[in-house]
Amino acid sequence: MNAISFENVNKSFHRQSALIDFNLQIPENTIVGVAGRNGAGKTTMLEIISGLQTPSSGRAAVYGFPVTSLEVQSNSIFVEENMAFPAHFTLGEILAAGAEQYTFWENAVALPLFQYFEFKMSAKIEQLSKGQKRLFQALFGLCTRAPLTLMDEPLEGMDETIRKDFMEALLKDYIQKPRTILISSHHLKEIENLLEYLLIIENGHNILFSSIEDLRHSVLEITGPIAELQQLLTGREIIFEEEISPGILKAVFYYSGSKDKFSSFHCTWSSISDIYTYLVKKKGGIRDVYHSTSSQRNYS
Amino acid sequence: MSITAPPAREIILKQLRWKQRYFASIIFAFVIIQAFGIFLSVMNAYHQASFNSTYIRAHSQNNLFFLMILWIFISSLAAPAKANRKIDFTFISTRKISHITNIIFLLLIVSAASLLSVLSHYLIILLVPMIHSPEVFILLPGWMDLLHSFIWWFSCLLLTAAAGYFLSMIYQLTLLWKIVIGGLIFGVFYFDFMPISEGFQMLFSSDIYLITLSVLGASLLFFSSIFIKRKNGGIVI
Repeated sequence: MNAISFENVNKSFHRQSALIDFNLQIPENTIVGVAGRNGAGKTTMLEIISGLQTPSSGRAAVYGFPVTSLEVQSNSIFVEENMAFPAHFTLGEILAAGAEQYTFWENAVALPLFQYFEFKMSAKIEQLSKGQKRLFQALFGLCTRAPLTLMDEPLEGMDETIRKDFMEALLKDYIQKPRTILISSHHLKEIENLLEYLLIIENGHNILFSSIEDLRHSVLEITGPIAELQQLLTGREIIFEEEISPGILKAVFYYSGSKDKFSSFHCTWSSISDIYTYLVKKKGGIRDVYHSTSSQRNYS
Repeated sequence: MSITAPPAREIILKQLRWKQRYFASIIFAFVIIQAFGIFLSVMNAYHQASFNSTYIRAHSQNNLFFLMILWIFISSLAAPAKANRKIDFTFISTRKISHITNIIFLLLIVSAASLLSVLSHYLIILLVPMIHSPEVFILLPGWMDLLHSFIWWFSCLLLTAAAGYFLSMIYQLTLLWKIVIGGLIFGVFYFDFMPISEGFQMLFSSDIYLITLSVLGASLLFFSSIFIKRKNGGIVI
């Protein structure tokens, strides 16, 4: 069964499109990484799934129910920077309210987890630092054990050790209680070992949704003399190419066979984070900005 | 993983429970206002050379009325504010459930505030002569007076709460509404407030008429608030 389904979803704000003809089917009980440049539409997509926004057109559903329905709201949690808690509640009171509201919440897991991360139950949310607040939000989301857990940039503001601990907690909790988890992050390298699927959004479009296993051996990076490579690459779907030194070309392309065929060249499978970078990188890269010969520029 | 959908009633009850704690500041403000209102009424009465029970009633009513209307209006403006409604969705809620919980909460505090305002008013009538002029004979209000007073308080507070709630929802729609509502509220409170009090008294001379009109008006405003929504907006607004 699909946990999330988007059919031709469009969303615009003040005539600016955030999602364009967006289609997506996410199977249930999977951990999905959501990647994309700033402003690509990741948060908008997560907000639509959580019900905070509704599509301008098209259909979005969670477990077959409309996103604003009680069925969805009582089975999902959206962890984001602006996730609000009652300001004058102590952390203990917030957790007690969470335990009362969320069906799958287990204090036996939640309390030791918050203790491990050294949260004082008598403290108030406004007394926490930015990083602690983000961690508290993320742990709260994790402890709800909601069948659909959405996390928008949960690692932002956390230091490296906390990030590692949190990801380990997330994985262990997921193994104990499998559910559908969507995590958007700019730290793809750090989270890629957690993920089962990767969704890449670019300019409001779903440009890639694939299982991580499939992706690991589907994109090849090859470096060699331009003339020989160009012949080899004819007819292939090139993701990225760049002349890294005079006469030497680096090309990245989709390929599903054995890489032994290219043994005469320097050839490796692309890592997940590199695939992401190649897919969303602007043509020419930042180098072109500095190498541009145009001296006549204006801001009109 | 299977998904479960608890009955809406269960969620409303749970939300009401934590909202009581969350909106404790509203209840705390009410207690302070009542104490301040009683104090003002007693002190103002002291500065009058002569007074009688009618004077005390009318006067204490005015002091308390202004503060209570202000309190319920601000509370009902705050209840559906975006920041507060976002907290609802950190826990489990839907648009409708969030509104229903807020409205029930407002109804509860309006009822409690009406009852306590009647008692405060009664207390003022007892306190003023006791403190300042024990020789003055004060005619204490009877049960019918108290009931009439309760209906009056309840109707005024209910209508104000519904109006505040409705305005708060409209205010969140567009910038134009923000300017209109802001101007309206500023105008009412800055230029002249007392005509509202007098207006209530003049308009609602009969208890039946008063309660019917306020319940119908409040229902209309509350129901309209539930359906106010930004175009393509989500669960919050």
